[in-house]
Amino acid sequence: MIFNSIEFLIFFCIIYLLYRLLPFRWQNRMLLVASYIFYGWWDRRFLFLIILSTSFDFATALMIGKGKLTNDQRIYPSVAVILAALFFITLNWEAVTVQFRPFNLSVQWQQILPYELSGWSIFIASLLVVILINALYPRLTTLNENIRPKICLSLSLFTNLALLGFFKYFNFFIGSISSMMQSWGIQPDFVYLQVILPVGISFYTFQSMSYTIDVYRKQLEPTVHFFDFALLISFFPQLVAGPIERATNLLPQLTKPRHLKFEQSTRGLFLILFGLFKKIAIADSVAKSVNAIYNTQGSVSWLDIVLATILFTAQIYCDFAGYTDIARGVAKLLGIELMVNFNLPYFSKTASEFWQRWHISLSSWLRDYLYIPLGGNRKGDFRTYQNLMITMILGGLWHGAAWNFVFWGLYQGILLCIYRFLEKKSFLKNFSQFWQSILATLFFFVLTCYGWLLFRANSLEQVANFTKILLTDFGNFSLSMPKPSLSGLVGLPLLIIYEVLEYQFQDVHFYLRFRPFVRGAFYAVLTTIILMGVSNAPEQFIYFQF
Amino acid sequence: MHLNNLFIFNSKSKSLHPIANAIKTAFWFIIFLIILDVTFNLLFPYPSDPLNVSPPQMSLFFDYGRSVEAKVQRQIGPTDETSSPLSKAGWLISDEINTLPTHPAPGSNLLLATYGMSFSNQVSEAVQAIDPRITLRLVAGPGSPPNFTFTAYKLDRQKHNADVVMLGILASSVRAMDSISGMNWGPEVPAPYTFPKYYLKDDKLQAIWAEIKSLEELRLALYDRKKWKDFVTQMSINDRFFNSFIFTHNFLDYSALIRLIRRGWQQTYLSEITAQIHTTKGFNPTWDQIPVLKSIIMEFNNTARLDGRLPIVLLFNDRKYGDHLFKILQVTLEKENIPYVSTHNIVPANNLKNFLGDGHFTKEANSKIASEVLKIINQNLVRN
Repeated sequence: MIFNSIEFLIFFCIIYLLYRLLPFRWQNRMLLVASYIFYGWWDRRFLFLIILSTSFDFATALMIGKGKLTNDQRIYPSVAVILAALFFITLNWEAVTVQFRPFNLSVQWQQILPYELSGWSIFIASLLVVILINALYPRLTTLNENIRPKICLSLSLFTNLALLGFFKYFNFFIGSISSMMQSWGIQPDFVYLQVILPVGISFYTFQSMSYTIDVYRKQLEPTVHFFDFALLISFFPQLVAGPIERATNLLPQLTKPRHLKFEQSTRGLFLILFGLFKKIAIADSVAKSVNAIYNTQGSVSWLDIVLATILFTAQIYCDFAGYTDIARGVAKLLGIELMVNFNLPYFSKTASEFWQRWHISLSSWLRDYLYIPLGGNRKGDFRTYQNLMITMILGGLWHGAAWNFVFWGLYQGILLCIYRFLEKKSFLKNFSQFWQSILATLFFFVLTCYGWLLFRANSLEQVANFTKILLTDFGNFSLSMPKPSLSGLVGLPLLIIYEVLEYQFQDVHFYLRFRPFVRGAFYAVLTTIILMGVSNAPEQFIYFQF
Repeated sequence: MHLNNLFIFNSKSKSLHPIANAIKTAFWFIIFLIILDVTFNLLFPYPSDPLNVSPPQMSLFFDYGRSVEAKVQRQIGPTDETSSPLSKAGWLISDEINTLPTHPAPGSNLLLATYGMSFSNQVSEAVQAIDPRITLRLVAGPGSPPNFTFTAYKLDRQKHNADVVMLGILASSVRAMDSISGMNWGPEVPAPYTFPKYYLKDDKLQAIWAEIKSLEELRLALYDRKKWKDFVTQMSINDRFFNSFIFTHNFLDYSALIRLIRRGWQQTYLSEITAQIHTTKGFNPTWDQIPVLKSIIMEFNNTARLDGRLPIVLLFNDRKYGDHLFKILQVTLEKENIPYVSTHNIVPANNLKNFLGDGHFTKEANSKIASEVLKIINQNLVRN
């Protein structure tokens, strides 16, 4: 279920109505069920994985923080894993058919349970793992206070990273090793996994990991309620594409009654409108032009690459920031504040500023849980550069299992190191403060665009080919790229004007300074441009694949 | 009054209650939506003259979401002369076919009869440009699907002495085999011509004919509510692309913004159906029209050979279709030894340079395809 769909509109209207009617505890239960419906809409099998991850991290965090579990705290996650395996993996739901007019529910009982062992294998394996963990539990509780948290944290990190590695990176590593061996003249016969990548696995895995690490660091008390924790991990607005929320921010909001404020709701509605504007009117509009150039097998010109890359720069921002805006807006309507994930990233003058403005929830995660534990900038210049490179390469790999993401991370790491090295040198001394700022922003924008070329390219060959054309074919202004649709052509300049104003005012709520009739006109224009864009072929949100 | 004060709150109005503020904003929001709607209608009206074939781009943009029924009513005047060219194109029952050459023209030695769409017409013309000794007999419908081209071929079989018959199949039109009129699967610019839908019964092709087969019948039906209703009912049953919200003319047609919503709805509706027929990986082999398409090709081949003609199947793998059309038909074509030309390896669909902005092949691309067609003709026929 994607935000810019009729299904989501109906889904959210029902959720919102129920939310307003139910008392606090039931609100959370309803949100948990809704979140699982939202996620299972893609593929019900994904639910098994998220419930497995949730159950394991809930129990390990309690073992780290409290040293023991109550019966309920053992029973709920255990039962959840077993039932999830049974209902979402083993049972054949195609045997159940529902017809609405006239209503008819039919179940082919002979087919609902699989005959083959393979259909039962995950259920049996889950059952065995649950039994094993429960059997080992008494021994874990007797461990030394100093050792137990370390073992439990290691188990949690290993499990999360193993799941992520298995689903996301297994084929990539096998493929890379296979290519390397082939280049040496060896023909390997590796087995590739035929699994689909669960949507948003990188987001919720990181969110879950940060929770156990925070508990280990004693920055957070582990929650004692399984369903609260399950909702923390699966809260549907931010489940599949972030922001990667910290439990320290989200958990207190989930565990205490929420009071909806009128201003919060109106801000939420504005964020939804603005997010839809970014996604539907701009990102989906320019996607066609970008894809035409990046997916072509024919020759392209210098101008084609430059324009397609600039448009992709707009597309990825509007796609991802648009999703975040809608997620934050939806959460606000439910009285929950999610963290800001984008803060005018293309106004950055340096690489470090860019990472303080772009995908803030990921960059701060990498800073807190990778860069600083590696030593950060506390161990001399060489180690600082090394830590930056490691952090950014792994950050690149987080985005996807492909070499171009690794190179994008490497490129971002190099930019961070170069800007850090040149920090105190100014090449623009002869210009006024204003022009220094403009030139630095434009220069870094060009560097950012080239980074997006690495990110968008379909292969390393394409990176090399496009780079060669950019460097050697300057002056070839023939254009084969189809132009974006009207909504993009109108929407993009409007977005730029809006962001320049926001930058000037240094206030995200600057539009509230305007009189109601100006705001009414602005919202009407946004709505009209969205309507112009609704006929753009809807594209999947880019960050879902991560 | 300072200009800023006109747009930006002063401290007094800032103290407005948030709810009053929101109500005021909502009021202005609705007023401005209405203003924008009216403005678009006034600034970008669609020309009412059916003979105007090139309306301004913006007028076209705001008209895409108008109901099919309203667009068709606008296209059709009281006579053929006062009706739009699009409404006249592609009718299987038409006098125009009698004006086409039946024999090679003086000075030429071969009659090539082509059944297809603009793509096949352009290739045929490119064939003639390379070899002027060829006379063309072109029967085409706007973006016509294989069920149209095959029917056109069958109806035309006894009317000429062509040496070569060519059946053009356009990958992006194959989905319309589940349709009976150009109105429903191309609702943005509907072509009202009709064609039969085929199905297989005991491995034999059976046709469901549209109740309206000519422009004259359509014109009469527009003035006869019962006839029109019957036709609409037939489409709702036999045309997978028919949708009453997209088709039916009502008051919503008067709002430019609602037309934009309807356009979005129709895109989603059509792409959902298309996704069941064709994905980025290729055509769905379980789609019930795939065996029909194979049977059409086989029957075309068999009947053409029976008539002593050289059959050629021309596969247009247009943009976004890679080699999908070729892949789904390759086995049938090779097994039945049917001469064919597929564009996928001559002018690949994923090379933008092969296409014009409107999606047609470039002149150079058409020449390359035509050369391949000519090669087959010259390999199979002895020409004086």
